[in-house]
Amino acid sequence: MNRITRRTALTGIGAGLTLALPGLVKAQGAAAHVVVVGGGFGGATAARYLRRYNPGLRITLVEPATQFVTCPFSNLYLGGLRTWESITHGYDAIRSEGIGVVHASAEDIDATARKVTLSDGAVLEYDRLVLSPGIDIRWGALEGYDEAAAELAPHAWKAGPQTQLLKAQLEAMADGGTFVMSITDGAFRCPPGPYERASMVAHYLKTNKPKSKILLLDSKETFSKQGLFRQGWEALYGDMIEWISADNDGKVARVDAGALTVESAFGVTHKADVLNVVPPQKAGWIADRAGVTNETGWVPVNGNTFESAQVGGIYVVGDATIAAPMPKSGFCANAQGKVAAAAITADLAGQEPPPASFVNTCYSLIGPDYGISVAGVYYFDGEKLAEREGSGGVSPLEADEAFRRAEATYGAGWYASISADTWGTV
Amino acid sequence: MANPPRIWISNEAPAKDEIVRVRAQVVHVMESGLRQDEAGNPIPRDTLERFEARLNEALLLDWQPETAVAQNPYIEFTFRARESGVLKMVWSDASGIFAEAEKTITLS
Repeated sequence: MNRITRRTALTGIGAGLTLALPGLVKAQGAAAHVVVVGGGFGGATAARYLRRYNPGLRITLVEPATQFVTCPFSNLYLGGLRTWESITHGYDAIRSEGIGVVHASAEDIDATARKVTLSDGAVLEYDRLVLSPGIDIRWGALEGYDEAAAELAPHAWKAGPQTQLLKAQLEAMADGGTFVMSITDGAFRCPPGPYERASMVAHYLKTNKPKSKILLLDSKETFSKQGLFRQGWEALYGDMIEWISADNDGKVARVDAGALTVESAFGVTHKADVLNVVPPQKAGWIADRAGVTNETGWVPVNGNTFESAQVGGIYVVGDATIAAPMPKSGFCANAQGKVAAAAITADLAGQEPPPASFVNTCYSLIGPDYGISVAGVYYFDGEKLAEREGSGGVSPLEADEAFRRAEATYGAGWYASISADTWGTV
Repeated sequence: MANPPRIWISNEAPAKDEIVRVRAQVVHVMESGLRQDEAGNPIPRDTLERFEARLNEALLLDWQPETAVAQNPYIEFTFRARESGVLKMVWSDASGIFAEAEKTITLS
């Protein structure tokens, strides 16, 4: 058979690189060791592509969780369209590829001595380090919103117990209740995420508690795929979802998690039955320990390699990075993981990194058969990351039901593909 | 102007030397002058150039918003209430005063 599928074509590219490199790598003597911290979209992808590009490399993946739950599609879990198991991924496939997987937290990084200290006391020496630390919440940046408050008013912006807590609260809410979401401005994980979440909560409420309301209090004037979301909300949920923009006093200035109230910047109090806070964020804290964050709390990188702009030998991928115009998405983290893997492979072989190119699609589900998307192709233009002119785009506003249904199907296909590519799981 | 500035103040009757927090937002397009319209013509710059807050004559804050500031600029600041008087805020653009707002502060 000469039929070339996407998968065999990709394998071919990987094989081509590995054929070109082993002689050079072996010439260095003992195999180099790459430590990857963080087993999400960025880190797991980097580990697996390092293995493909250089079978002789020693690779250790450090990830505290034995099972990784994805933020992508966690809104579908909230909406009752996905099981918890279907958004949970293990590390067996990665292990089977000869990658060491250590379930511990990285607690310190010494970039000079090139050592990572783990929570179990082990110290890993590395030749190159990949950090894929994701995000941390900036506790207290929004008045009243600290770790204790999040147990009453969950953020659910890192998939896990917080997501399950929010779902339990939705299930316990009486029909006719109000679901309130406070949405931060500035840089945050998954720009369309709050609005997909509102959609999926609306689907759950329409199905189970149709007298309920959804109130979105936004610190921004506009949002990702705004026209498409608002059109979809009106079509599927009528006036169930109310969105208040910053110029209409939507910015929340204070949270009282005990009372389940929020106070707007200009003094209006809103009462919730379930309160979800999408809070201010920053790079995962281990990035601070490594010295790769700047004053913004995020990580500047060289866009051609995703090596830290501040500390040599450390590559940072995913939501923690400053990678605009790329959004903070799982797909971008996956693409950046591949770029970092290729750059490290080349660097260890004494070669120039290959030119970086990235692709991203963000699918959002508004209803079970109603999907929309935004896509882009990005590259390093010699100075900075840029969007390839004429690439990508968003779903059309004028589209029929079949088109929206098709995009819902494509979204599910995307999730299966990216899971297989990142963790080797279904 | 379509909408008056939106003002919130933590306490209009503060104790002497109390820290008072002020939030203020004005509706303004903040067009940077760097964009083009669909025909490729530059869209002229239209930005707020200055925001000034005074308690009576005492200058509390002088801010010069530039092209990177988003539309409908929001500002939050604090001051120490040293005296009673009028808190006056003025937003100006290239053609002069764009918006004004006042709050009376009475030391308790």
